[in-house]
Amino acid sequence: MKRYKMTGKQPVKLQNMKNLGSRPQKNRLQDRVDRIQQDGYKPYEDGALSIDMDVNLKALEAAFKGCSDIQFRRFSMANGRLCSIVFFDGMTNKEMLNHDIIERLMAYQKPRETTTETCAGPPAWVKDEILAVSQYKEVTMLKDALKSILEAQCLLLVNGYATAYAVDVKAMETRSVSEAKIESVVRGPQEAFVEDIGVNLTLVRRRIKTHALKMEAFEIGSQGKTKVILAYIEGIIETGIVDEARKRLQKMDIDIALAVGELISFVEDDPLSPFPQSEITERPDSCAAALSEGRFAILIDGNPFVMIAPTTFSFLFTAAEDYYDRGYFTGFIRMLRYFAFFISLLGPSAYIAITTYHPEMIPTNLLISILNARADVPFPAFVEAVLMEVIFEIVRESGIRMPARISNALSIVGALVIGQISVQAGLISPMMVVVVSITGLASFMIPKLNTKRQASVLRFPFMLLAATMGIFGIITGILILLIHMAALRSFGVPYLSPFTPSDTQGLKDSIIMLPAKYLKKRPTYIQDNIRIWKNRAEQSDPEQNSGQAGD
Amino acid sequence: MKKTITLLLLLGCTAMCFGGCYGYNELGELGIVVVTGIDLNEDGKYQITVMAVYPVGGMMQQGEKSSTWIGSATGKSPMEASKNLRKYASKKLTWVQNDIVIIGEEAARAGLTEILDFFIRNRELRLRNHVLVSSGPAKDVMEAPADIENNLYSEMKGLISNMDEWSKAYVPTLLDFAKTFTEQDTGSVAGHIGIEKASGRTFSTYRERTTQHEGRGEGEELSFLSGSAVFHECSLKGFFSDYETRGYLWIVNKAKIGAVVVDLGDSKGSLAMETTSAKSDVRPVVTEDGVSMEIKLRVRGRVVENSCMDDLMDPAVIEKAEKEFAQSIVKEMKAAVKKAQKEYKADIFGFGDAIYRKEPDTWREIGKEWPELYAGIPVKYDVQVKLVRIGIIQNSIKVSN
Repeated sequence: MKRYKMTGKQPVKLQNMKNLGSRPQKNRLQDRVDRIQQDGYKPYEDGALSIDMDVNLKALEAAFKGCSDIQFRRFSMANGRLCSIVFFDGMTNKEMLNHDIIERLMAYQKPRETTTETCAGPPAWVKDEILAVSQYKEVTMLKDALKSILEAQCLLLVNGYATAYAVDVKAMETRSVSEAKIESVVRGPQEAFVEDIGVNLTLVRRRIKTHALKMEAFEIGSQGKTKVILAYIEGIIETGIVDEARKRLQKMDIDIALAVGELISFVEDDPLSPFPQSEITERPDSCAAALSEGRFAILIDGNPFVMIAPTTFSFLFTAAEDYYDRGYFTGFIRMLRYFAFFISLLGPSAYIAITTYHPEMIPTNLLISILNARADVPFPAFVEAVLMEVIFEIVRESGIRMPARISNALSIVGALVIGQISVQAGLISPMMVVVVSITGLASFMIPKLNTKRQASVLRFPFMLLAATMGIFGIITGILILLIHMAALRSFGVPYLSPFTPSDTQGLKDSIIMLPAKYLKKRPTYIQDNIRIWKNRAEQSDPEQNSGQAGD
Repeated sequence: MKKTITLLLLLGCTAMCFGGCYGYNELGELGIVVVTGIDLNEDGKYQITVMAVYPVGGMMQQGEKSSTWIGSATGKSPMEASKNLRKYASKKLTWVQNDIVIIGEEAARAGLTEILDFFIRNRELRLRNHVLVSSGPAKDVMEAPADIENNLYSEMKGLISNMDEWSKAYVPTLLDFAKTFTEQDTGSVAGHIGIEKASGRTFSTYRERTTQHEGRGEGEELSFLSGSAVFHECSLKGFFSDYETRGYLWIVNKAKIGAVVVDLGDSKGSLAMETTSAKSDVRPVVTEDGVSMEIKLRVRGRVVENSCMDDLMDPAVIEKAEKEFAQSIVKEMKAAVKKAQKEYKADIFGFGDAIYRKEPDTWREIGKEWPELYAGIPVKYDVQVKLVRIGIIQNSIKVSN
């Protein structure tokens, strides 16, 4: 689906900035908006609802023209007054609608006002005596009426009143909270976020029971009006970071925001960088942990993934599981993750560089066996490595895109074709298979979803550098990457912190992980730490005096 | 944006040009030299012989084609000879993995300066190469078939790595050898490799048919590593036997593990010790009579064989055994010193160096006459052996009366 960016009245394709200002490009969405404005809004300059119900209905009908799932229901109350409800089929609880609204309205007899009389102000009797629901909203503007209908509410119009009621009888089909599939852990909680933002909010709120947990709502997308929540814990998070996040969310200029990736690209400091400056998670506990560390989370309606920022390089190597394990093991596994990251980044390029430029670095016996294995291969090492890497990526990607039933067949084909046949055919040397498969495996060691595939993109430039300049080229590449990373910021937080600029508190939970008991202070590199620490000291003192045990 | 991309592209292109793939070699094009031998022919030309590993192909069965290639070429200098090798070599020869340098006896006797200069100056040759002198031409040694390993190179590597196990052979690295070689008034020691008729010393057998052994017949040759070669004033003076080699290694603090066997007691039989550690110290003693050397050696060992002593738990017996072992070790050292002093006149033990370091004043007096003085320097031996373990059983196995 193509997305468009609105620039005033002129819609401009997001990818194609060149057309800006040349010829206006109409697209269907914009046409539709224009038509709503022509047909619907014209009679009402200010866009307010009319006293005449029929006029309102006509406007709504015009707006929803072509939407076959919209339902208009006109009926008269027992006292003769005309009413109508407007709702989307399938988004509303019909039973509730019938029993708690329509039935009660039809049975309403009190002739408190004459049936045709027009009245200023809202029909208070509706909310006082009829609506047997917990949530409703008074609507006086047409655009608000449209919005509330689109938000799966039922719009109740009463003839003679310029105020309508948006009643919450939402009953949307949602997926129930299920197990985390991608970031599954052995020991931690198993539940994962779902598509419904309300459920997701509760999942987080349930874990952090403090009024300091703020959830600011935004509407993103000039047309789509996607609900986006910025969640953070006031007092822990550095205020500058929230301000910055809020500013960037407000500045987001997009038509319809659906994917969390789109949001990230708008919110991130440097969307062109190969390193993600924000992470996504499907685990409520990871999200809660991030919040308690002084990060913020952005939840988008319809996405079971939540964006977490600011992130640093060290954050990419932490997994939810880490905090459910003992520190020694976590430290070991984290070191292994860093190591695996370097393997997945440099595996094939190191192979190319060493075999073609520095054969003296290989132990003689190993060199001889590599030599024998490579004797029949017609390609130079670089071509061989690129070929193998591309095949591996094809297998990996097609494995993901393929329906689950076929993927069994794929794994056989992948293993056979790559592992055995291509070696037997003399296309690829067995050593290359070893290198590529270790590289591939290593790339799965990185626990964070956004980072997982970054290494495989960076691998190819490194291979090119290795093929042209050997180890020297690889070192050059690493230096360029390091310089880039040192300059990178995630919402103002240096990307390489807590390593550089170094932060003693932060280092305690970086490559190693001290037991939580010894993490007395929060790391200073993301948080407003000084303040928190002071508050904590002030709060904890009286508690200690009164003899209550601390946590 | 466009500018940046163009700039980056240009940078990438120039990076490739600058790199220029300098030093790029596909592995398949390389012939990896692992052993280099050098001889001096009768006509005064150097002959270089290399053993290189050639790729045989992944799918081909091993043994169908030999993966080692031995080539030989002559030239006026070692360098020219090595270039002339290309006359026969189908692969790009590279010495980066070379591990063993074998110098033919004739070449070694004629003088090593030119050869050693070639080996040390060359960037491709690592200083951790092992230096060996062959009795007879190096080419002959390199042509001997491998015993059980895939090629002679692996076999030689095995022999070299085993030298510490018995301390009766010594192979220095190129670096160690060159250090003593270039020092004035100091002799140097290299390894010694030879070939002998196999005559059934080793076999390789099939597991299924143990009676049928394949491989070397009576006439075939087998390479061995034993003893060492002694150099003085840039040329080979002679070979140390394995016995003398260990005497030498005791003195220069390089022998660690080895077996010492002595006859002890009245009954027939012997007591054997395996040394576990040894530490030596060579220091000059300056008296009014002149300079003498004192070699202090402390050895720790354990009893590994006992077929003569009944009461090893007795401290007196142990003490006696320790003394016998010490004497046996002194004998070895004496043999080495005698040969080096009298026959080769090569100060391989670094006596002069010890005087220079510890008694600089004395060295200033005698330094100039050192080559003449060396042969007559008296040497005192102070060896103490300590037996720390006697093994799992105590006394020798005997049928009790």
